Amino acid sequence: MTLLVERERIGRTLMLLAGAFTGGLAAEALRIPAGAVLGAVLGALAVNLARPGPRLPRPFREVGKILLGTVVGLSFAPELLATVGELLVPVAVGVVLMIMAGLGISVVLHRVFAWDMPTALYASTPGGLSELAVTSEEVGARMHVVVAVHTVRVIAIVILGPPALTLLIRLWTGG
Amino acid sequence: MTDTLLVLAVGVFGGLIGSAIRMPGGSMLGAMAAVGTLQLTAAARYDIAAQWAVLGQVLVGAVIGSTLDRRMIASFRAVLLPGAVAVAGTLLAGVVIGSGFAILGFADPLTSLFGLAPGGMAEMTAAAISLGASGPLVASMHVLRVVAVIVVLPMFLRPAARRALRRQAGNGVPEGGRDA
Repeated sequence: MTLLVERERIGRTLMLLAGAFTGGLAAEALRIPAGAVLGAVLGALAVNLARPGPRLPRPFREVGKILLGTVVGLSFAPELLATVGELLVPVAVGVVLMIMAGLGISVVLHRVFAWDMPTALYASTPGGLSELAVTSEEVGARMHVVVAVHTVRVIAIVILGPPALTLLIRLWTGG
Repeated sequence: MTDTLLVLAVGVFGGLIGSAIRMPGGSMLGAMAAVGTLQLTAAARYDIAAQWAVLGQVLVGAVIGSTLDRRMIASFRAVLLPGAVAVAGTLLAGVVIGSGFAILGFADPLTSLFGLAPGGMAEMTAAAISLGASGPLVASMHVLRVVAVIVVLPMFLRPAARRALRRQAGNGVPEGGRDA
C-alpha cells in the first residue's frame, strides 16, 4: 500500500516536471520573453488542472533558487557592488513608496469592498507569500484570501510581466 | 567541467547555509553570496553553461504552476473583484515606482521595472536574467523589499491589524469581516 502511494507520488512529480520542462523549453525555443519560467508555469499548470493532486515538493523550488543564486553570483564584479551601494537609498525610498501604495489599496478594499482591515492590509502588502500567510492568520486575517491574492499576484506578474514590460520598454525607447 | 563542479558546490553550500540560518530569500541569497564571494576573490573569472540558469528558471516555474489548482482558482473567484483590485493595484504601483526609478536614471528601465515589480524574488530574478536585465541588481532590490516588509510587519502591520480587529469587535462586526 505504502509502495503504491510512493509510486503514485513519484509518478505525479515526474508528470509535473515533464509538463514544466516541455512548456519551458518550448517557450524558450519560441523566444518568448522569460520563456523558461513562463512556459514551465503553464506546463505544470496544465498537468495540475488535467490531473489535480499535491504540488511539487519544496526541495525542487530550493534547487531552482540555488541555481538562480549561483548564476546571479557569477555576475558579481567590484563595479557592481559599488552600484548596489549607490542605489541603497533610492531603492529604500522605492520600497517605502510600494508599502505606502499597499496601505492605500488596503483602505480601498476596506472602504469599497467592506473587507476586514487585517485581511485588506495583508492582501495588499508587497511581501513574501510565506511570511505574510503565516503572520496574517496570527492577527485574525482570512488566510485563504491573503494566500489566494498573493499567489495570483506572483503568477500574474510572471505570466504578464515579461511581455508587458518588454512592450512598455519598446514604447519607451521607440524601438 | 571542474569550474562547473566547483561553482555548483559553492552555490549549494551557500544555499544550504542561507536556508539553515533562515535569512530572507535563504537558499537563493546564500548561493548568490557564496558564489559572488568566490567570483570576487578568485584570480580569474568563473563561468558555467547558460543551461544551468534555464534549469533553475524551469524548476521555479514548475513549482509555481503546481501550486495553482482548482481550489485556489475557486478561492480567488469568491473574492474576484476586490482580489483583482488588490493584484492590479500592487502591480500598477510597482510599474509606476519602477518607471520613476528609471526616469531618474538610477538603473536601466528593465532592471528598474523588474527590481521594483512586486513579484517573488526568485521569479523576478529569473525573468530579469532571461530578458537581459542585471540579475544581481534585481536580486539586491528584492532583498531590500523583502527585508523592509519583514521589518515593517511586526512594527506596523500587526499592531494596525490588531487595532482594526478590536475596533470591528467593538462595532459588532464578526472576526474575519462582513464578507467572510
